[in-house]
Amino acid sequence: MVKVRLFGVFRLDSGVKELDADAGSVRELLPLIIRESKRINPQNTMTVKDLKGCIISVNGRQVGLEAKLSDGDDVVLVPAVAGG
Amino acid sequence: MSKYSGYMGRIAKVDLTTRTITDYPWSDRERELYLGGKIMAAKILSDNLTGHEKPLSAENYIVAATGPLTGTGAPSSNRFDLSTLSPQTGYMTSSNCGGNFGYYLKKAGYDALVITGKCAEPTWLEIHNDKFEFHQAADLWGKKITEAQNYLQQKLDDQRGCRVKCGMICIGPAGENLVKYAAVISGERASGRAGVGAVLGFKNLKAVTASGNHEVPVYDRDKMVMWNKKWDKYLRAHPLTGNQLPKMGTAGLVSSMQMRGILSTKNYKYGKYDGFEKVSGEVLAEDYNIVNKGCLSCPIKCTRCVEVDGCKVKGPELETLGLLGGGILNDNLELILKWNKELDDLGLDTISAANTLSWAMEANEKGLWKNGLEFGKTDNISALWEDIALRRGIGDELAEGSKRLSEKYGGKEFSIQSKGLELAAYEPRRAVGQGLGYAVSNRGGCHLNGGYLVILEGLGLYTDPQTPKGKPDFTMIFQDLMETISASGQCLFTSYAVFPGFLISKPNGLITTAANKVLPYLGPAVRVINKIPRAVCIDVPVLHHTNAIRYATGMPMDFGRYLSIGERGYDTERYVSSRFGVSAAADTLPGRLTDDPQDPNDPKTVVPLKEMKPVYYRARGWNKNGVPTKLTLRRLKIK
Repeated sequence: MVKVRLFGVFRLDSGVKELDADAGSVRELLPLIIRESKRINPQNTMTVKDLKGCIISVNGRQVGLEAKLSDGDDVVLVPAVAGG
Repeated sequence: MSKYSGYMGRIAKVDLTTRTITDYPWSDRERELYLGGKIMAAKILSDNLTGHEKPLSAENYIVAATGPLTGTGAPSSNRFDLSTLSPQTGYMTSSNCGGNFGYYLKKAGYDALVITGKCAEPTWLEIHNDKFEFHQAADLWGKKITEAQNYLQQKLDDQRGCRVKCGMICIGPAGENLVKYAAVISGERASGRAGVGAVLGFKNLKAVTASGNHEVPVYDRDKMVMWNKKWDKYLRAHPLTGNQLPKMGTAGLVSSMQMRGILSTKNYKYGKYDGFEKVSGEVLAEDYNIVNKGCLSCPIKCTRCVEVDGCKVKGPELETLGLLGGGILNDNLELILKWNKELDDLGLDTISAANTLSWAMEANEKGLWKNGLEFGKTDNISALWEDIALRRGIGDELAEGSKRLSEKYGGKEFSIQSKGLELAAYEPRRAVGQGLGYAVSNRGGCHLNGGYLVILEGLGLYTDPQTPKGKPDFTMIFQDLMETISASGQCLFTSYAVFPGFLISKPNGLITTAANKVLPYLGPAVRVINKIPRAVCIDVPVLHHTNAIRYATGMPMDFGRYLSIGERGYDTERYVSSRFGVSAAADTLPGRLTDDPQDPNDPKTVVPLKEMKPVYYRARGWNKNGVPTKLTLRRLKIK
């Protein structure tokens, strides 16, 4: 089981703040986030493709979609943003 | 008058001592060379400041300048700029503002005001069309911004018997009491940085209102309307200006900065704050945001409108969240909302106020200055802002800013400022190009005037944030582009859309990954463009700005001209500041950022300023002391 936290517009659009999920890799994890988003609000239109626009970190290190996940990992998804 | 449209063709010189108004001469040749806004102001200051003036003196000038796009309907274009000799840095500064004053100054028939002298008593100035009227402001002096602006609006309404559409600039008690980082406020927006409010306060000028019914001339209205629509559509479709900023505002950066390790924490000792989520843009949007608001003609609408004590007010920007959050180890967002409102109402720059506070907390912690201020302790802060604005108790000392305090008590290595101006919330040891920008910026420790290289180093793109490679050249080109964007009257947020949307929305994509890897090696190519910008006499499709200026003014404009105007502006500012002693010694950062690695196990996590600065100077054509050479001044037609 990994702990997932979403930030930025991905969190606002999906309605998912946090999620405990069972996934062996980041690629496997993304559909689970979308499923949770639809469970929270069936009207949500976010897709896996949208989530691929996130910067993903596992335990504080940026990773790619193929990164493997282990039990207890802390996964964070944030947008690549600018504008201060 | 001017042969170019987009301009009202008049600049008013206001002598507050003699209460005389004269036309300030400004030719079309100068419009071609200096465009408008802060670059026009730099030239005016260059022509009037000799190097002997003091910032707080009748002899100092303050220029309120609009750009040729102000009032033309171009997206996010109704900004104006205040430029002066800064009491905080001692050098020339400019502070940009999204308030409504610029638009209405042009409606009154003027491109700029050149203000000098000093009123004998507290005064406010009313401009209506070509008429200038001085009013005594004894009953306005001491009032906070909201009350003062309401008072002025009521005065104008009563005077003319109807609701008057007008713009205004106004100082609060902080400006009146010469706080070194006092702001000027226009509506809800601030010319926040470098103490422009104190300059007006010294001059006894509480406020200026502007109104009128002049129309801003546009060279080719049909093309301008068509172009504005196209540009507007582009901005709304871009992931930054059409999604991120409207939904989250600048506050949305907190979590991304946390992830990159660039969120200033505990007076920049760290780059991550454990409590960041409680003071993030996400919580602001979910729990507090009522509605988005924008400046005039802005499709981005990045302002967070929140409710504080029953009033709907502008919410905090990223800088305020970061610096009054992690900066002082405070995770109480509600307090930040209240403080933000209070700071704006007192006319204080939130960035310098917050950083001065965090410096004082660390000085107390280290036993250098026993002041009762502690990291994480917030119960004694709310009253402190008014103490600073009114210069009461320790507030009187805090009103001087962290640089002067560190000179008095020690602790220079953790006074997080450059040239006396405190840094923004981006901790630069993990974004070293941003660190170079902070150090060499004409304005002092400003993220925007420094070139905002963090957009390449983790926020937007993700080139190696620790490598100095290519960073000086990118810093220069970004500074020059942003200089011209500001000078044309536009918001710098339009510049973020210059990065193609797919680079931002597909950070893991092949093209983005390749761009991240290649960018540091493009320094030499960028240097060639910087050296001979006029060779790039083309329109760059993602830079909509050049066409807009052409259609609005009728002035020839392409990427190369646009860039060289920016360089001329940046070097004119530096040239003015050189008369007041700016040098390589001033282009520096505190020891914490250059000598103490953010990660003690990774010596690379410092800003390698010594390595980058000479490269930057050479790229700019400045001498080793950080001053433009005669050749550079001649090349840029500055001298």
